Amino acid sequence: MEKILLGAPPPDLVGDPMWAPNTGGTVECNNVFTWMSIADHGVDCRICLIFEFGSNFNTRDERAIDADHHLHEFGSVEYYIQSLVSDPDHTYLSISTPILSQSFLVSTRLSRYTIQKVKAISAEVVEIVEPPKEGYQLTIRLNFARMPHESIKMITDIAAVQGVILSSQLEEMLMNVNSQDVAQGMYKPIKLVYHPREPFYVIKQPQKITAVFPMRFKEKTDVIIATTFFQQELMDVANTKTCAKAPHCIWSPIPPPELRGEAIEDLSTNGGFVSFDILSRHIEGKRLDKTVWNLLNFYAFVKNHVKSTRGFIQRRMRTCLKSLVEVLQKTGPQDEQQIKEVKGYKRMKKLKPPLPSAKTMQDGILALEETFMIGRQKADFVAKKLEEGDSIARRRKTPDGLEENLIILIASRLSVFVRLV
Amino acid sequence: MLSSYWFDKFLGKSIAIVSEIQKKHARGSNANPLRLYLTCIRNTLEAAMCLQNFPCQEVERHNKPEVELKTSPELLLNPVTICRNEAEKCLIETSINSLRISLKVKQSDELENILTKKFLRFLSMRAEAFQVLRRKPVQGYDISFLITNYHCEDMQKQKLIDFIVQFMEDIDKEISELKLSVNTRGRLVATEFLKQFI
Repeated sequence: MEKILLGAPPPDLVGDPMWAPNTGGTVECNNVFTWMSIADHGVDCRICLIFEFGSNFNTRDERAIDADHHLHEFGSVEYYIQSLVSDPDHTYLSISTPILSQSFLVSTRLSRYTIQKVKAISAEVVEIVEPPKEGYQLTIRLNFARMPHESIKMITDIAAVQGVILSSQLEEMLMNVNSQDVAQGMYKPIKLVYHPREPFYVIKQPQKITAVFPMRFKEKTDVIIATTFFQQELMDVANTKTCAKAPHCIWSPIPPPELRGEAIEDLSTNGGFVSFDILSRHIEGKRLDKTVWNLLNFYAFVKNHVKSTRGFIQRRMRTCLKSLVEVLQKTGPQDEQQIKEVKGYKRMKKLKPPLPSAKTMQDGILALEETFMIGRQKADFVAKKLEEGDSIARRRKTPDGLEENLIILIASRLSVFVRLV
Repeated sequence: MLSSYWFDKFLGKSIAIVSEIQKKHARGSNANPLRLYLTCIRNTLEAAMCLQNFPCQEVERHNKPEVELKTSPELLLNPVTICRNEAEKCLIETSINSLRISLKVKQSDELENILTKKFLRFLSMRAEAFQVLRRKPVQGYDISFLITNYHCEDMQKQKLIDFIVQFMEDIDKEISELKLSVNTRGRLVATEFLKQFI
């Protein structure tokens, strides 16, 4: 008997039909690698392992071996998977999970709802073994020979059986929301423990069931983000028209009166208490599953929101840091500014005025004088330079083959071009 | 008018309440109170930022910011506190070779409080990127800057003042936006969660 550590295969082995899982023999099972490519969290890993055992461990040297494995998940969930050489078509999967509430437990038997759900997976492939293996709540026999080749949904359903067992208690409670059996002590809160450190309460009242979540957080920042969320957003949204049919939601910093008499350590919180009133319309048909899921995972939902909000704040801060540093970088020394001012000449160059044209040199000088409002003296200077054949006046050929004179005059950082046609 | 008023204040009393000036200005025009507060700080900084190299008088071959050490009282000027309100103020301490600016940013509720603290701590931890930012704020304030004569030599004085003022503006704006975004995100998350029950 050996323990297997749940986990995804190394990336280079994903998709490799010869993937060696962890225990010696190389498994030749197409299904294993097919599923491993999507395996990145607990349920999918469970799926992989079920398939792995479904392959009956055909090793490379074609010798079949018995498989007998214990798997452990967080929250004291235990699996026992057995595959025998003598019975190659069947694999036995036993599941043990902590129950939601000890006080509500009527018998050690599985609820009708759970049996119904397991049978609904596939009557041909999944069969409930009675009685279950000792120490486990449910044992199912899986017939992989009858399983369709690529039935992702069926495998996922088998892997989710543990969740079904765990949530069945709450489902049964919610299904009886409208029943009139409000017997003595029925208003007493029932403590449900889905996660060991995060219990919540369900209180059965006439026509409704109230779920109360005592909220606890490790850090002060988390407490403030979460309480702001409950106080300003969750309660506000619950009162809007859009969510008029959603359960009535209340947040209170002190325990609600229904929880009077409960253990003080359960009622000491830093994030207050969130209550949801579940009515019959919230559990009609397919909504029951969603409601149960939402209630069981409310803690996880809030924690995820808090975590993502912190990430969002961090991202915003980084962006702001960049922009502030950029502002400071602009405060360079004064010399640099002077250099920039000189460079401003380039900007002026872009604002080049239209070129005046003239037929004779003299006309060109006049045009220059008129267009740029330069003094007669400067214009004469240009003319003189041109007569002398100085380098200021150049001759060049245009692409059309015509010759033109280009006069460059630099006065007050201004470049002036006069083209003579 | 504002600058001369502040120049007088700077030389004379050490504390001035901006609200008084704001009231005075509000009678004549619809001026933005934040703008007045920032203008006041800008003018005070312009007056205060006259720093020069000055070696330590106590220890030979040492050159330390006098505003931090406070070894010689004759090298220190009167500190100026500019208050917009009780929760929002600025302390400007000046010495011959250094200037310390401490800011207290408004925190109207718990969320703003943690956002401000987180943000300013984030910036303080990256003080090396800013050069003039102090790693630890002065007691009673949220963030502090230390400007020495060397900073004034390396950077343009006017731009440095612009940076401080813009920093104040940006922090206020960023925290308000951050709070708004967190609330908007929260609202969307709450809506999505409750919609699942419908």
